[in-house]
Amino acid sequence: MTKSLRLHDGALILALLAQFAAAGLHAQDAAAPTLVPVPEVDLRGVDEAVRDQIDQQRGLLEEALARGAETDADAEQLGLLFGDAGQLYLVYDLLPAARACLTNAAALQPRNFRWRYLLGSAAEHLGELEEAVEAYDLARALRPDDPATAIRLGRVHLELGGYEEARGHYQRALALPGSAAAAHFGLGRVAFETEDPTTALQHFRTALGEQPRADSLHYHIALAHRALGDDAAMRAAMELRGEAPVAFADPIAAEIKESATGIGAQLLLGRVALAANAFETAEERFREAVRDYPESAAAKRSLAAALEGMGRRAEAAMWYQEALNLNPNDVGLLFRTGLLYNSEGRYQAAAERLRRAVEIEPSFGPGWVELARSLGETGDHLEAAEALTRALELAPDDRNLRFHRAGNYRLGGRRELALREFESLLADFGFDREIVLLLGRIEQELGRPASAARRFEQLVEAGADPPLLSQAHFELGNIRTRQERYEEALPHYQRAIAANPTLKEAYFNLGTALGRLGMFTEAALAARRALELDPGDSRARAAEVTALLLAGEDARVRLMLEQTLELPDQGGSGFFAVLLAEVLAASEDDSVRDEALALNLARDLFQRAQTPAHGAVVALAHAATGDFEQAVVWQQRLIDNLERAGAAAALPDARERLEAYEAGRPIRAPWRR
Amino acid sequence: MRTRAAGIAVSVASVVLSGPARAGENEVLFTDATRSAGLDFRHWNGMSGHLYYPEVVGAGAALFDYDNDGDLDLYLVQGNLLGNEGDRTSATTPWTGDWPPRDRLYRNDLEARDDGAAVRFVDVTEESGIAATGYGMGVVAADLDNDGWVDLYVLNLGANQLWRNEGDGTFSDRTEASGTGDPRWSVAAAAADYDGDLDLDLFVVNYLNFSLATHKTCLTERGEVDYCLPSAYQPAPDALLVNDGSGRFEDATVAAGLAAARPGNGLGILAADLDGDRRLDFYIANDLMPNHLWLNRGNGELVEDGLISGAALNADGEAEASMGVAAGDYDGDGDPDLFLTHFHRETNTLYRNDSQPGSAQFRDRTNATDLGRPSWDATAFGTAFVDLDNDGWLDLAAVNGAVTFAAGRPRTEDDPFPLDQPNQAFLNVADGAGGRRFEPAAAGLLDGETPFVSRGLAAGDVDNDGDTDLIITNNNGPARLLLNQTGTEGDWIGLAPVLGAARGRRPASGVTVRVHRAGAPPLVRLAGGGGSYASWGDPRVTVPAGGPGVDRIEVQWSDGTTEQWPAPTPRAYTSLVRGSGERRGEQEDDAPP
Repeated sequence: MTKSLRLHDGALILALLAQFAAAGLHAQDAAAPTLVPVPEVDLRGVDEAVRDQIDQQRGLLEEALARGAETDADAEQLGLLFGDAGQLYLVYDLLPAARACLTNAAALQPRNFRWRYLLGSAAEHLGELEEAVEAYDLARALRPDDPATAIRLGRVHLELGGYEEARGHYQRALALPGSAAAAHFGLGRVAFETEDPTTALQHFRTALGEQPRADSLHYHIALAHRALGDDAAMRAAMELRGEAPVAFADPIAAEIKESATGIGAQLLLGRVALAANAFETAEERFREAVRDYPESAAAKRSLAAALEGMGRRAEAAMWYQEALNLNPNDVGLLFRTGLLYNSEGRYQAAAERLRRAVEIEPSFGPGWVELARSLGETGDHLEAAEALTRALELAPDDRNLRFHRAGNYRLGGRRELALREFESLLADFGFDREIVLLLGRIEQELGRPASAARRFEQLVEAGADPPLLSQAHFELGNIRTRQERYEEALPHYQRAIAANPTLKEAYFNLGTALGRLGMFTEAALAARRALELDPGDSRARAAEVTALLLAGEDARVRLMLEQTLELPDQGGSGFFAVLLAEVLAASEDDSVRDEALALNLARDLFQRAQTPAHGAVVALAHAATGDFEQAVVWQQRLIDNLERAGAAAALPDARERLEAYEAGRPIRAPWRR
Repeated sequence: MRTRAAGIAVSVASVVLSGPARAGENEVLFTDATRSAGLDFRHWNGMSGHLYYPEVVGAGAALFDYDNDGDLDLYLVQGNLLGNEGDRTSATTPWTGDWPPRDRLYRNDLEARDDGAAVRFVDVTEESGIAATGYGMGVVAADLDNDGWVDLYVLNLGANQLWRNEGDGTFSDRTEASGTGDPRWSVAAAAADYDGDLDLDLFVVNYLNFSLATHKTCLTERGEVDYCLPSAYQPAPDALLVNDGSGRFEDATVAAGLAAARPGNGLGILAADLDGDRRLDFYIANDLMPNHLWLNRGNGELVEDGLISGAALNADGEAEASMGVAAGDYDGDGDPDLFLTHFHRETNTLYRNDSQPGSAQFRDRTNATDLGRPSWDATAFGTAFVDLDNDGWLDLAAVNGAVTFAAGRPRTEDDPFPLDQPNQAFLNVADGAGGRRFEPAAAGLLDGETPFVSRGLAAGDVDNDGDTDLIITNNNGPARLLLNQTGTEGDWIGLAPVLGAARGRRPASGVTVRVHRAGAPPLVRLAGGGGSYASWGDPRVTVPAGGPGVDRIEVQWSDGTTEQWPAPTPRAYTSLVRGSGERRGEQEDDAPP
């Protein structure tokens, strides 16, 4: 695709569009949408400020067209720019250009409700009523419960003389928020047109009841009375006639109207600054717009977007919420807020906004996907999977959505379902190493190690990339470890490490396997490697000292433990302190043992937390100092507590120790048991 | 079968070059006979770049028989220069004729030929003595002094003028003597018998309180300088002038009750018995304000009943920018329905007449008759119910031209007045459910060689061949004569309701003609009474006489009396002289119940 083209005037967009038509939108996308030419707009007599506004918007569009749209993101951006241009043309009543831009925006972003809706509006204003119906129908497919779309569809069908269709849309609108009065008014109009003044009168009256300020309804009520022959009632109603029309919730139209009053210019200036990465200028413009138009949701949303772009997320979130307060049913706002909250880790709040967005617009695919993310992060995996199912109804062939749904099934405990989903992905999209790896893991979780092993071996045989190969060997090692086939586990861990030398868990589990095989020095070395990869990993540190103790390296262990306890924020300090007390009290190496110190340390630990482990080590230290009487007392108290707690597994060892203390025998190297 | 193929445009062009030709049966076809008829009038709006509002408003035309020779002559209203102290060189479009510009009177020297009559318009302005040099808007042609010669009442931006037809080919200015020189901005008037005394009174429709001193510069929402909308100025009240029978008028505006209603931005008017009570009512098309329906109570009182009757606002309950108005029985139920022409982004509007005697009721049937959408983009002015295809059903013609650049195209040096829009015709067809609807006729049918900024439409049988021809006036453009070449299935009947006069006869105005047919509903036509926009059409009526045989003709006069005559001779115009027919009582006539 040619990257740029120099032409004069408004012919540029036309020429660039021609390139698009010739080249297709995406390099590899044969089904790229067809874009229509945008009629040239003659701005010679137009006010300079308006011309600048339109020129700037057109400039942004031309730049984007010149850059081309080789990725989905490019196409998305182009769609937004066409949409913005369409809106601007609509504001200034340049309808043919508005229609073309909105047509292109809708083609590039077929699931964007706003473009469809505004395209319907442009067509309606142009008197192209069939085109308006088509656009509104597509908008309706995206947001079946949007009241404004229902009302407008009713109105256009009424103008077309399609009374049944009009009636259907108005009936549907009756149940939608903010549109009951307009729906009744429309139904009244349909009834009146179809020579049924009785029904018309009922609907007009109901509409007036719903919206008493709409005093123009009295005129229609009067006409219905007249058609029914009730002259007195007709005259009485006519006396009450006013000019206030029947209103209905139509936030997009309100925003467009707002643009026409001057805020549009301010917002555009801000957007232009934003596009040029002049964030501070953009923020300034948007803040001016917010100050000048405090009731403008668009101004607040734009400010939020600028702040978000600057990384000031908390402020951005506040302004998004302000905009939402003004326009609580704006799907775009709800989505942006949800995205922001998700990125901040405020998943619950994100889920609330996103859920509202998809309730309003069930066909809003990105809303479902982002909602799934929120739900997944809050642990509601099955709800996340359900959200992804809704997204998949809109894009049934989307592999990623199916993949993530399967992942959520797995995390939500529906492993069989996850298994089937992943297998169907393999069937539909061919062999995929990542999926095979996940299938192996799910088989493991389902307690089917043989099947799991076959999956991982399949992956190994397929010659996966190093990271995946490493994972496969790691999992195979784990299976063998769980089966206590440690010698078989060792080579898998070693291959996992060879394929991915940074796989800490492989070192850790290798150490475990080596330890099980009595190779404590090697086990300590493996744990040390894990610790080197993650110095804060207290499990690895514990594994190392344990292995060293088992290897008889008591002196080294004492030193390491003392150093460890001096480390700040050592998460496993409780464990390491207990172990140090035990080493000081029970080492077989006389040069290592320090009974008095052990007792002090043990007492100190017990004072901090009266846990069974701390009680046991106090008893051990008393015994080490020769105070068996106290050792027995402490040990007996420990046993009583364990019995009360039902900790049967710990009791044999505790009783064995009690017997030793009662016999006046100190315990030595209990870690070897 | 109707032909609406694109080939019509080619046919029209060829006919224009080679002279009139007959089309096949019921094929709707007009030929642009402007040049062949010698019609060389070109309207000049005097625009000078200041965008004075009146520049886009005029002007109209009248078809009338000024010399009583049995054919329709033509009066065309001219514009002038506004401001600039008469410096004609300041105009954007140069004036090339004699100074000052003036309205023109063309005599129709209809020439009989083997292949039909040939229209020859001869400019007789100079010998007529008419010196109408004001900034003209509209014209009414009626015998205002009951002397048997049709006079002219010219509506201007500034004082209106009454030109008395002296009966010898000349006219004299009787404005002051007649008391008709309303100084406000008048666009249209109806000459009709408001008080039932059989002479013609004048209902003058005034538009806005505009003057060069109050001229405003208006901007579009894009900040472009453009012509203003009427909301920029205050509406000017209408006036009712009552004729004492000799052509002298007294202002009865207050006495008749017109002052009781809020003034409107009036542009169009017609007089007809709209509520079936045998008295002439007046319907006023107001620009962006509710239209007025003045119902005649018969005691000198007019009551504004627009809102109550449902004829003031469209089905949405909204006032529209009404320009022109036509009345005709489109659905064959015997009463006159109303058709209003409107601004772009508004539909033209059809109000079906559902009145009972004394109780006017109208209902907006625009959507149901498919008339809304085709007019959405047009700014329509002159209009008429005309049986374009001679099938006995009244079709519609509407001539269009924008009033703002925003609704037209941006102006440039090369194209300083780009407000032209195609004219439109709508054919009345069965809707398949027992009713009627309208289908757009072929594009270009009423445009002649090219679309202009059309304003006035005067309908009449200019070549006396039994079908209705059209005069279309164009703002800052040439007037057009479109001759109807549509074939007829059979004979036609021409009817000229007339009243006795001091010398000879005078055309009636505001009468209802019912053509009774064996085994078929009567064809109802209105004669005189005005309508359209700033224009005055043929006071005669013509109906096809093929198909069901015509039994008798009935005329309801402006005083409420009714007479009937046996079926007249076809293929000619027959005068129906008041008092010469069989008088019918109220109980026996066939007026709608």
